[in-house]
Amino acid sequence: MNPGSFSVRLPAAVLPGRPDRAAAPPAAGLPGPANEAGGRTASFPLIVLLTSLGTLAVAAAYAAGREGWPYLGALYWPGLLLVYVPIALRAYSSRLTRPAEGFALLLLLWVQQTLIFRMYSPLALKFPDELQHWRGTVNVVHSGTLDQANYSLPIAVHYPGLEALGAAVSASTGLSVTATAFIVAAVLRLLVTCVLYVLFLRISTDWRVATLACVIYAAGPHYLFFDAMYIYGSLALPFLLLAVWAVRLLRSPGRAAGRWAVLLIAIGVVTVSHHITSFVMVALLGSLAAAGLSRPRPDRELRPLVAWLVATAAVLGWSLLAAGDLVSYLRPVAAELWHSMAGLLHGRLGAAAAGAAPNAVPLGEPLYERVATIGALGILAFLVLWGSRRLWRERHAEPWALPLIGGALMIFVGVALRIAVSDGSELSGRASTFIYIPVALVAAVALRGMRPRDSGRHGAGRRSLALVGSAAPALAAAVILMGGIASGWPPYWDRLPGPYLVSGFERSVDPQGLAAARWALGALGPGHRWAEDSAAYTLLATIGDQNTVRDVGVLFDGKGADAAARFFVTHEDIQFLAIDLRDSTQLPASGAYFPGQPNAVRYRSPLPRTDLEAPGQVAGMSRIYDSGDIFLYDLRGSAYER
Amino acid sequence: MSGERDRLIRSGWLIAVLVAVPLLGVVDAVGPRPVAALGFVANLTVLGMASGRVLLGRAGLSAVERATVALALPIAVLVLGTIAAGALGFHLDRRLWAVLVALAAEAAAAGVLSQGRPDESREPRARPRARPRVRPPAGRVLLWGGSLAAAGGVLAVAVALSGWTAAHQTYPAFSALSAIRMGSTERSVQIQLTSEETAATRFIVTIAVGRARPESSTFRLAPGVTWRKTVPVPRSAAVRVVAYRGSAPRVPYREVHLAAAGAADGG
Repeated sequence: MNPGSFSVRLPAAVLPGRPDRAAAPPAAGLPGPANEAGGRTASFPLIVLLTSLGTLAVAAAYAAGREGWPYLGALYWPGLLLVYVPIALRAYSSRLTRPAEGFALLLLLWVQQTLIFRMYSPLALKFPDELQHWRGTVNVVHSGTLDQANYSLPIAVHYPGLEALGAAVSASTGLSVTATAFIVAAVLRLLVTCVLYVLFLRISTDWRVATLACVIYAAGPHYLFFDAMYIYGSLALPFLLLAVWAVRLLRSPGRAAGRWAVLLIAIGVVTVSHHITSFVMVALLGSLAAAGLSRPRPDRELRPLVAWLVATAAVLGWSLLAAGDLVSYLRPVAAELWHSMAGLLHGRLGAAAAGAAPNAVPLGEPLYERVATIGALGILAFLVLWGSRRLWRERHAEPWALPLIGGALMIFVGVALRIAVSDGSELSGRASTFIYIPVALVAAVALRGMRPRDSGRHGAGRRSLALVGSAAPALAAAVILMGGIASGWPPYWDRLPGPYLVSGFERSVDPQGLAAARWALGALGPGHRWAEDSAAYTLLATIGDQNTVRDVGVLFDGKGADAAARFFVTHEDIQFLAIDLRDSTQLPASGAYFPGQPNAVRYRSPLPRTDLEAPGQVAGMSRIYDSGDIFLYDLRGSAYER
Repeated sequence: MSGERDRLIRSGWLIAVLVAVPLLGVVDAVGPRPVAALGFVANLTVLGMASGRVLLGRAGLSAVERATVALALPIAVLVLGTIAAGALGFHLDRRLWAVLVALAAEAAAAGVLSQGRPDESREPRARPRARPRVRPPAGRVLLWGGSLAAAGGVLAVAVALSGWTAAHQTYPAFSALSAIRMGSTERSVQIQLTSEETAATRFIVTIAVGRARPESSTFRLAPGVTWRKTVPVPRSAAVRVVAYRGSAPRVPYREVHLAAAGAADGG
């Protein structure tokens, strides 16, 4: 294909599937419709019904988790698959003949996945990351300014895009901040769906590829939960995509000034909303600029270069002038990466790398989830290689081909991160939000080239093969979704809501912890320095608006006010201590009892109760709160301060 | 889309929108909440549709692209406008956001009006041929209607099931006892007991100040109710508060204590 054939042929509503390829006949093993129109109209409502049943199955699994009903929890995976697989199969099917139906499938997927996410905790925010931005939004609504300290996520004050949006909606509609967070997060997820589709459509000029790519992206590790949350990355992501879409739009004739304005607006929103996404934007636009400049002179493109310069200036300016804490915020992550790389050089991989104890007891995920994770990565890697080869062969002269292929091949970097870095699964999961954009598009290009073409009359043997062939896409879709979720969020022990878990993120948010955090804010006021375990770290900093401290294990070692503890208390200016006796009854689900604990996943037994009670024996300590499991102490004037 | 169906290119419609936007802004700023929210949403809608039209026009964009821009731009205006207002020292409240959205919507609508009829609609269009209306077969209508209604019902059950089980999820019952010194001189202590038991519970609370004989209070608390008491206590005296349940009056249930000033020095 020559470069000219890659030009945009819009509007999409009139785009043909692929002009060079006749519509494929019905897939083998499935009854053909009486006519094309009949086939179109019959399938969509049935898919709506099927996927709704899947959502109901997930709701039943959630209910089983909360109520302790036996067996029903097993409906979780079938429910998720019932939502995803029919939509994926329809998007892949040659019977999908209208762009409107393709886009309707994406909207259906958005509805079902949004419900699945929110039904985990339908009445309150429980995810720690969401609670951090809930606190930031409450601060804006109450103070009327954007510079109120957010102790739960100090860097968010310098990236106040989401808080500005949430506060505007909450104050203008009278909705609670929690309800606002539900609505804003759902709208942002809808925006991601739309922008992803139009971006893929602009790049591929094939609505089938765009539809398939969006469906593949929806199986990414963090798509279903983490990226759907009310967090600053969820605001920045659609505007990152919008910026790239606007750059792409600049290539076609039309109102250049307006397109530049949209591009600048998108760059602005990303810049003030999320640090990592803004860095990704600079890298992405940089790769597009380099690709534009690398073309021979008559076709050389300068507009991506200008866009990249503007984005770089905006991000640099904001980072230096408004977000001075950024370096200190990102330093621990960079140090962790560096240590892992150094460990790699010394032959240590993954959990055995620096930062993890050699005799660690990892909380293993079920075997079938590990298999699904490997299977999903294998399928996607295969599709990426296939699609890259096809793109290179057919469209290598197109300036965006190389960045697209390069971005898709980053899936192997994600795999390497997962294997090599001690906290690799979280890092690769976070990176997947961006890496899966080109991965999904290139994989969709590959799938578009291998769709079933012939289902004519066969002999019995061939018919069996055709049946197997028609089952393969369903199996592949199931593996891609299962593997994506298994390698993303939530972790396997957190998939269903349920009773309290020690250090279990959202599973640690319970009425007793909430009551303690609310009491701390009401009785003491905001901003006091606290030492605490992981669960209290989240709740005291968000609900309680307290200034919590990380890596406080030295106060929980049973040695009372020894020299190390006294130094820590005075050095960190700690005023209060929160102790949860439940830490002596369970191992930490997430691997660490305390936030920022360097030697996580080292425990073979729960913390001794005597260690937890030791601070209470220190002279001059005041126990100011007792709810049975949770004790709050006032350290001021105690032996810790001597 | 034909010029006849695109109402925004008719100047009559645009003038109506230009008049309505400030009125909706006023409603948004000072109206009672549900009505104000309508003004807010209406102006955001105008802002999205009109600003997309002003910046990008309609030619060459698909319907999904236009809808995407219409969704993204109001969000961007709220984000960037709020941050700009905050940087300029404005107090961020409902009125400011009402003015911000109304001004942006008015400017966008005025921009559409100033552009006149867009290029693509200036040229005389051939009147679209009326397509013969084909009534869909009854079976297909039944299939669509039945499936969608069933799906809606299934989703409603799913949401209700989640909401109900989340609202009624059982956690271990607890009660929280607390004591803190009050005021700048810390001459009094506020004691508080909140019951989150499963049923109304009788409590006995004893308060011992220094070496004095403890005084006790007996009361009954319904779930979710808080009992409070303030007692005068010099900073130099320690306080010990113990709560017992009526069902086990000799077994301490909750206990808090405040150290006397200088207790860590052995004083």
